[in-house]
Amino acid sequence: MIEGNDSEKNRVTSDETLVAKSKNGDKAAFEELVRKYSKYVYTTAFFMVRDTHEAEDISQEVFVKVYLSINGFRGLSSFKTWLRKLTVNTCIDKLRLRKKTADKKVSLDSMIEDGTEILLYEFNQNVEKFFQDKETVKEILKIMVNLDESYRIPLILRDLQDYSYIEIAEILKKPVGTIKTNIHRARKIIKDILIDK
Amino acid sequence: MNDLNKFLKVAKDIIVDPGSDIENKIINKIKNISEEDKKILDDDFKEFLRRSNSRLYFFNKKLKENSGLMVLIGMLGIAAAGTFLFLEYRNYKKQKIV
Repeated sequence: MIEGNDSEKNRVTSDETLVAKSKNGDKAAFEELVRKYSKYVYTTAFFMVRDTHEAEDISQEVFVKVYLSINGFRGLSSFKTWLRKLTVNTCIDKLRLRKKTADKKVSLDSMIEDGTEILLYEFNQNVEKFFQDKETVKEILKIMVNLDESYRIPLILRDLQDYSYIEIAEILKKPVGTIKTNIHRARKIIKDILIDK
Repeated sequence: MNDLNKFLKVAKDIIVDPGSDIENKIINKIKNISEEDKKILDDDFKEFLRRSNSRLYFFNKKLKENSGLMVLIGMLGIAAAGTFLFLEYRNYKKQKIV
């Protein structure tokens, strides 16, 4: 636990340094931020838009936005939090523009066959984390990724991105009660499917 | 449901490997930003940037998310002010009598 806190503190400190250097025009520092967070941004985008190519485009767009506006980042939240919010906002904009993903069924298995791998990483380490229930987690994500958008997006924001109910309601422009109900139903759907298997 | 929460907590560490060299694609994109690309800094983004750099926005957000706590702090503040005024009034009365 203490080790975890230390590594979190180190990560934030290191991000602060990289952001400060990037603000001073240090391109190598910005590239380091890209290396550190590109897969994190891609993963967030992928689960929201459910399309590998679109997730890649969004990742590029997010980092271009960060690059062009890094001098405007005052550091009131951590860089990772800021990046996460920017990614989610960009994804929501895309989803509003394109309703095509609403009924699309996505097979994570076929993606894995295509070369896309789902890994459990300890953040920012290149070794896969040992986790005995990994298959169950993958199973949950397979169900989650095929949920209706009205369930999937609030659930992802709440359970994978740590947004509060109020924040989700603001982002999705829906009442807090609706958001809570949809998240509860989404969890129940996942649980029911898991029990049936 | 508790088990599901446990698994969802673990799922936060999930990374989907893009299967392509996404880092270098992004770095190359950044090295070749065109005037056209700069149009993505639209009004919505500027609004996001403004809010994410506003202490007032963060304070309001905390207020909304912890309304119970804020009400409690407010009540304690009023109680403290009331006690202070009461003590001051009592001292004033005592001095008047003396």
